[in-house]
Amino acid sequence: MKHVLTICTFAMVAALAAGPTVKLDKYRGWGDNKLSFNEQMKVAGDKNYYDINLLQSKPDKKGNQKTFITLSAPSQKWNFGRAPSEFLFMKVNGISLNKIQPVPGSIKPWSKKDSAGAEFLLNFDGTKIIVNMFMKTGSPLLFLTFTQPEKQLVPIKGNFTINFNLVISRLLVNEKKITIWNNVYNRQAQTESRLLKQQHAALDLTAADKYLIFSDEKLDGSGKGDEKGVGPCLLAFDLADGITGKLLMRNAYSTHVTFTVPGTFKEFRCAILQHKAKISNDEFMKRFQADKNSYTVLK
Amino acid sequence: MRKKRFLLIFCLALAGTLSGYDVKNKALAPVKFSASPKHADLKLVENGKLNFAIVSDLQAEQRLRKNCKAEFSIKPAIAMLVEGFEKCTGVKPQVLDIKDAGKAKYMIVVGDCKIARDHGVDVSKLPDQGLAVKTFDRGIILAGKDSSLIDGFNMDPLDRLGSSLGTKFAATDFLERFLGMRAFYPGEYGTIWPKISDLTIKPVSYTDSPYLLNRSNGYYLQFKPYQTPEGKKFWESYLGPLTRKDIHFPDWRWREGWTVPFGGMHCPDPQVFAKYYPNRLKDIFYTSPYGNFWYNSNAHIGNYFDVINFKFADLMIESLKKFYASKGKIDEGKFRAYCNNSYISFGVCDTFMPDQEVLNDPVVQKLKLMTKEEMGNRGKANIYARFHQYLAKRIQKEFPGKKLCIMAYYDVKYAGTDPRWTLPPNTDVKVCGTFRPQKAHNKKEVQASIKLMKEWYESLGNRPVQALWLYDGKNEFTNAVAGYYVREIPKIFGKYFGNVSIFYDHMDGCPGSTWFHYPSTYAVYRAMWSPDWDIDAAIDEHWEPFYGKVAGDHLRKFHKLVRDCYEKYGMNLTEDQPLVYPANLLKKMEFHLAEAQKAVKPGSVEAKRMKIFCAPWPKAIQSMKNISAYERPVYYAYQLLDQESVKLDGKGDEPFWKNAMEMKMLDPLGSGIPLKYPVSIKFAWNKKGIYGLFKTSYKPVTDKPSMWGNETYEVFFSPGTKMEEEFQFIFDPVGRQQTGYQRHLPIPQQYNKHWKAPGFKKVSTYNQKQWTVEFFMPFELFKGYKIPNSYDFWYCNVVRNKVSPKEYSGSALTLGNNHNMGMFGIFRFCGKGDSFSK
Repeated sequence: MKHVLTICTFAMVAALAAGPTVKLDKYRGWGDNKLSFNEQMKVAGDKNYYDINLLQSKPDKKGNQKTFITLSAPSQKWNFGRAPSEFLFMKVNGISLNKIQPVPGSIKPWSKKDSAGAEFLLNFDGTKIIVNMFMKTGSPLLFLTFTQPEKQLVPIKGNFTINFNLVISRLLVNEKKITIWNNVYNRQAQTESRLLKQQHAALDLTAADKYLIFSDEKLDGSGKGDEKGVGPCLLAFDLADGITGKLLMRNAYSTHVTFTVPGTFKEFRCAILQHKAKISNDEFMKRFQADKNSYTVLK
Repeated sequence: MRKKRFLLIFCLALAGTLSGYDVKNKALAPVKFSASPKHADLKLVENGKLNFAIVSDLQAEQRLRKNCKAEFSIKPAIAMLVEGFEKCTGVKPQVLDIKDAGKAKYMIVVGDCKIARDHGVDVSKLPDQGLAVKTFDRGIILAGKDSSLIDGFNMDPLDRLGSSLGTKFAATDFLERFLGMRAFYPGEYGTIWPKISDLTIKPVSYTDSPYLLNRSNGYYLQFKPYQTPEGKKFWESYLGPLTRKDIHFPDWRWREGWTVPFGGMHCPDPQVFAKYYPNRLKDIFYTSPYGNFWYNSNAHIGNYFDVINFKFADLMIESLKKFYASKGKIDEGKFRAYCNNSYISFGVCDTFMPDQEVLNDPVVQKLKLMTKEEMGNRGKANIYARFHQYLAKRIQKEFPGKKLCIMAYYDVKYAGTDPRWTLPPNTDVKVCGTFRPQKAHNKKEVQASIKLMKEWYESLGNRPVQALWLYDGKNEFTNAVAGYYVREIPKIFGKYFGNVSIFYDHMDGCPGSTWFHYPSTYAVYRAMWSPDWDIDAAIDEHWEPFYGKVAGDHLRKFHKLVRDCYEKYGMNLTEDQPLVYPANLLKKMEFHLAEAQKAVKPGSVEAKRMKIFCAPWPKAIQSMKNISAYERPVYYAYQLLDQESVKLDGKGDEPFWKNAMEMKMLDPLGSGIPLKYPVSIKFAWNKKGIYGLFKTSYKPVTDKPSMWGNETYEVFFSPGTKMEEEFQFIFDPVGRQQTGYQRHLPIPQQYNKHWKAPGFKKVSTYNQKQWTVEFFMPFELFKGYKIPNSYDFWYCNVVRNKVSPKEYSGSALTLGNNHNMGMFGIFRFCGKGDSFSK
């Protein structure tokens, strides 16, 4: 019995010590029967895990289809999991991500000793953007690296944009269970250098900001149940090489971050954090301060 | 054991009941009773012994043979009675000539003779095909109006008259009414012959005659199902061995018959007429002001007679003069089929011509034969009314006593409403395909049909339309019920419809499924005899005797469910809407079928009948489930890169084709059955146009004179996203093609088959093992539509018509109508670099 226990413990430690794992799967959940394209990356590390989906809807009554990227794990409850449309959006050469055609094999998984993830190959009518999404040992973040192939069929003209969309902590509903779109929220975002409060106009981000810890003052993730939401989430980014960012955080249910990337770019790095379980604002900050590097270092 | 004993008792009781007949049985044709003769009951069969002989003037029909060209009526009547009694009693009755009548204790007197006349049966007073049944103290008389007893009947080769078979129908009526014979389909299982050991007939007298004078469908009931050896074998696997009599089942059992040589069909034959008048083609066939010459030497379809310039009418009259003068020996237009001493037919070819083609014709303009408002709707009605009037008047002059019989079909659907062109009294009309019996309770359709019939009635000078051509449904669920509504037609149309004929077009191939839907088929032909025939009672009566109590009850419930569902979910559908029933009701249907099948003993007659009844349903129910689950398919068309190009050589060996997706093909009727003969359909595109590469791995049929006789592909595009227009491209392996387009929105117009698709190119190669065709459609040919951008989409349908062995497949579930845009798939123009290579 003792031997078995010892062996099991060693196995667990070995497993924990092993790097993140990745596999390809399909999204299964609400609306999956309405999809004509469905590929999913499942990546799991020692501190967290993510399911990221590349999906295309079946034609609606007017024949329109939509391509979109969603996050369905660790939690679909708010933050990046319950985005108004999709948590990650792009527009390249005037072509929206919603329009492009994913093809089988668009997601290519890979695995190394201390990291694992997948390349999402997104083709915008001949202009390819490669989004590498992965996890690293010791970090709860999902890292995203945007690159482009050396030779493009069609080069990027001017800039292109990358959007992150989220619903901070939760959205509120009235007594008839209808979403309250605005005027009841208290959104804020803590960066490395400042605390940003919700405002009507979009705000320019700087390289000094480095990250955004999104939270709501009142929907602070405390208590039992979802009354006060699920708490904060994080978006870390590296504004270098002429990449700019804007934060649109109104007194509204949804929040949007837009990065404008020059067509000549080599790489854009960012990362998100989505918790599985709810976490209060205070608890999040404690953990963040205790292990800041694992939340903010992108390289 | 108890169950078996109960069943045996039940069946014997049933047999007993059936031998105790009811002359007013609702399951039979209602007849006209007159005062019953006064005499004792006639014990024709007692304890299994026959107390009668069949008595007839056995020479009556033979005597006139040299001067009467009619079908026998008395002879088959006798044969039917002999067969019937033998089957029911096990004993063959004696047949005596009338001169030996005294030898019989009782008689069944068949046909007109002294005995019949002496007892007050005067067949000359009966209507066309009428029958009389009357008892007397020594027997029962079965007689009717028989053409076979008319001296000089039908002796002119162009008389072409049908025979009145009143006595034959009297015999059939007797078998049904007194012996309880019930016949539903050919073969040994399709007829019930109740076992009879006693038959006592009470005094009775009645007459009957058919409502419709022509009740014949040899084509769909006697020819088409068995057209090929495989077809016959198919049906024999269900119906048992089929004798000649079985093939002619409707003649023997359902009182099929006709007397009026009504025409109203395609006449003259365009190809034959053209052959005889090669220098007059421009007079025969129409040339539009645009220069489009509507003549097709290869097929019936595509020909359009010139009905504006009367040179064609005059030529037809001249040719008919030769036809009639030579008693049909000189036949320059296949007139023999539809022209005779009663009628001269005129009927157009299966071709629509857009109204735009004639609107600017000088004669049309001068005489105001068509207005812009009429275009696309009743467009050419007055053009044809004028032509028909002219033709009828010429017939009146040249062929007095003969009538023009018009086929109201295709562009001749509507009657002329201009009083200048009222049709003269020597005109009759057959209206084709405008009313579907299965829409008899669809208020909108019925109102439209009544209006149409009323217009014809008025155009005929307040005389009825004498014939209708009806179409069956397009799927098993509709075909199972459509026939029930035929009986309502006389009531629906009232005085606008006469009593010559209804032709029921089963639209069935070979072997088809007509006999699987025997209740509906039964309903059609019995209603033709009498619309007051209670078909519901007739079908309801048959379930238990045919299948046994338990199975019969389940099938009754199944059949009621099928009828009720159609009434609720199908009656008010438009042509393009799919027929779909709720899943729970389909499940109920499956339950009843399964329970019915469990309740019959394997190998029994009931089991054999069950096999026939159940045959179409598993596939039909599955098809309906498939249709219900149908999602519009999406095809992603590969975009050629700048450095890629297509060499149209029929090889399709350019490397980029590997990156193109294959279009999925299926059964457009929804069966879900995988294709036996796969085909590879691929498309690609660039800003110049659309490229196609279609490949089979079998030898195509290429040697037929008509393109449609060969393998063909049909490619449909509806550009843009609004389904406003459809463009059709049809081609066969040997390079023939047909193209056309039709606008549906905002204002529907007619199909234009003169559109040449400028720039459409194709190259076809084939051999013993394959057929490859590569084609190109430049975007310019889709006039009015922008060149699509990447990720735009159009609507598309591809159809592959494999002819031998036959396999119909398509890319969309269009339910048998290739133009059904509502079901077309999506054709998405992919971006550069989107590759679907495996």
